[in-house]
Amino acid sequence: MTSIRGDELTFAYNGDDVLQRLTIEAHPGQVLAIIGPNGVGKTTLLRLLAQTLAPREGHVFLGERDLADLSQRAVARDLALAPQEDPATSLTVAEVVALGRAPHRGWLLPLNPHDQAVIEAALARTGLAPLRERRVSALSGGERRRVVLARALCQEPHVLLLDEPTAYLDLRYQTQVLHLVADLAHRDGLTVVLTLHDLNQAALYADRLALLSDGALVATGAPDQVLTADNLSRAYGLPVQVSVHPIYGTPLVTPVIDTPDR
Amino acid sequence: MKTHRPHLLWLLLLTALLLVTALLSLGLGAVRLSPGTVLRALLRPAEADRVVRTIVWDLRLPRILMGMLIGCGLAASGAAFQGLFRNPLADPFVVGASGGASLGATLAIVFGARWAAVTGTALGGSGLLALGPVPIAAFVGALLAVGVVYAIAESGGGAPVVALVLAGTALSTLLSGIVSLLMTTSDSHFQATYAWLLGGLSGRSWWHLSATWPYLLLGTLALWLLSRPLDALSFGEETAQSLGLAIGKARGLIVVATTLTTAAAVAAAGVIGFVGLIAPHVARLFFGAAHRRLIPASALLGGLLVLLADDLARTAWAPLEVPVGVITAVLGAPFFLYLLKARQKHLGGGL
Repeated sequence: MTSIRGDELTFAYNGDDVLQRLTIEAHPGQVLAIIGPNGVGKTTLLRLLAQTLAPREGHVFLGERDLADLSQRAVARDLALAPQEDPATSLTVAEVVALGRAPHRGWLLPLNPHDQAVIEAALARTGLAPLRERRVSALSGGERRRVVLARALCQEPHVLLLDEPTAYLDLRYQTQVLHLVADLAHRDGLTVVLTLHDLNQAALYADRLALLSDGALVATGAPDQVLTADNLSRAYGLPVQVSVHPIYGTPLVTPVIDTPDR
Repeated sequence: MKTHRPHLLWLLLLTALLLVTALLSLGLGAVRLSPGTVLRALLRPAEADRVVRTIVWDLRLPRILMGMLIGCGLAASGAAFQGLFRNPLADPFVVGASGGASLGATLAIVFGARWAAVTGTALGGSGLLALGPVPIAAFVGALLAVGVVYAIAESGGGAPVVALVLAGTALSTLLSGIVSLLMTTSDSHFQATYAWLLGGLSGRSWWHLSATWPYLLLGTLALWLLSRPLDALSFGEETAQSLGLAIGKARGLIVVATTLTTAAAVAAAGVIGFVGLIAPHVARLFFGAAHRRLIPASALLGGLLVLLADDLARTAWAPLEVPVGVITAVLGAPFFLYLLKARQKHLGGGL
C-alpha cells in the first residue's frame, strides 16, 4: 500500500494564492479528513493530490514516485478520485462503474473476466448490485454518489480521494458511506483522504484531521488535537465550544449561539 | 452481460432494414424497377438488360451508397460531438463543422476553377467538382470552425449549452455569408456551387464515392473505437482525467475524426443538415447512451435517414429533383426546435 504526500504545494487562481507552500501527508490504513470553512481550498487541495490540477509550485508523491513524472493513466491505476460531480447520465450503473477499469484495461480493449469480477465486487460493496441495469439519471442523489464511489473502487486504488462524499445524502446514507470509507482504510489498508463539512462526523470517522484556513494548514493530527475551541474559533470565525461526545468519547463541536432568550 | 444480446439483435435488424431500403431505393426513379429486377442486376450484372444494368450500377448504386455513407458519417459525428461537447444540441451543422467545410470547399472550387482557367489544366475529376483538393480544403475549414466554436463555448462557463448554440449559429451565418459572397463574385460557378451547397446527391458517381468513402468509413470506425473515451468525457474533464484519460489527446483524436468525416460528407454532397442531430437522439432512445452501441446505431439510422430523404427528394416532385439537404432541413429544423424547447428547463432560462 502507498502513502500520498503533497510537498510545499502552492496554487494560485486568478493571481490570488489559494494555497501557500502547504505540506500534507496521508498514510495507508488511515482516513485523513480535510476540514475548514467554505472556499478555503479543500477541493483544490484534493485536486492537486489527484493531479487533475497541477500545482504552481511543489510536488505530489505517491509513495516514492513524483506524480508529475507519471502518465495520467499510471496515476489512475494507483489513485482514484471520487469528485463532487453529479453524474446525470443515461448510461447504466454498470456501464459507469465499468469505466473505472479503463486505467488497467486501456480504452480500446474489451473487459476481461477479472475486470467483470472487480466490477461485481464494487457494485456489491456499495449496495448497487440490484440497480446495475438502471440508468444513472433515474437514480436518487444518494444512489448517484454511491455510483461515483463504486467507479473509484473499480480502479482498485491504493489511494482513494473523496470530495464531500456525504453531500446530498440523508443521515442513513451518510453513515453507510462513511462506514464503508473507514472500512476501506482500516480493513483493506487503503490510504483515504476526504473533505468533510461536518466536524463531528470527521471526529467520528477520521483517524487524522487537517484543518485548512486561509490557504494554510492550521493544525494536523488526531481529532482531539485538531478540534480545539481555539483552533476552530479562529478558522471559522465564530465562538465554538468543544465537549466530549457522550457515547463515543470523541470531540463534540457546538457553535456558541448568541440568543437573547437564554 | 444480459442486456447486450437484444441490443445486438436490434443492430442486426437495423442493418437489415437499411439494406432492404437501399434495395427498394435502387428501384425508385424515372424508370421504376422491381426489387427482383434490381437484385438480379446486382447479383448477375452480366445477364441483366443493358439499360437496367446502366441504371442500377452506373446511375443509382453510387448515389445510394454515397447517401448511406454520408448519413452514417454525419450521424456518427453528431453522436460524438454530443458526447464531446456534453451537449444534446451539438451536431456537425450546429457546431460549425459543416459551415467551415463548405467555406473551405467553396474556396477550393472557386480558386481551383480559376487556377484551371489560368493554367488550362483541370485539377482532375469531372466537371465542377475537382474533388482532389476539395475534401482537404473542407477538412481544414471544418477544423478551424470547430476550434473557434469550441474555444468560445468552453470559455463561456456559466451556460455552455447556450454558448455553443449561439457561437455555432453566429459562426455558421458568417461562414455562409462569405460563401455567398464568393459565389456571387465568381459568376461562372454560381449555379453549380449553389446547388452543391444545398446538399444534393444528384449525379453522384463512382468517382465521387471513390474520392470520399475512405474518410467517411475510417472516420466513423475511428469514432467507434473512441467510444469509451467518449463515455468518460461525457462526465466532464475532471472525472475523465481521474480515470486516466489523456484528455488533450482524446479530444484531439475525436475532433479530427469528426471533422474529417463531416468534411468528406460536405465535400461529397454539400451541407446535409440535422441528420447528425436526429439519428443519435433516436438511437439513444433504443440503444442507451453507451457510445459503443450509440455510434454504430446512429450511423445505421443516419444512413437510413439520408436514404429516405433522398428517395423523397428525387421522387416527390419528379421530374424535378429537390436537393436532399432541403428535405433534411425542412424535417430536421423543427426537431431541433423541439429539442431546444424540451431542454429549456435545464438551461435555467439562460437566454
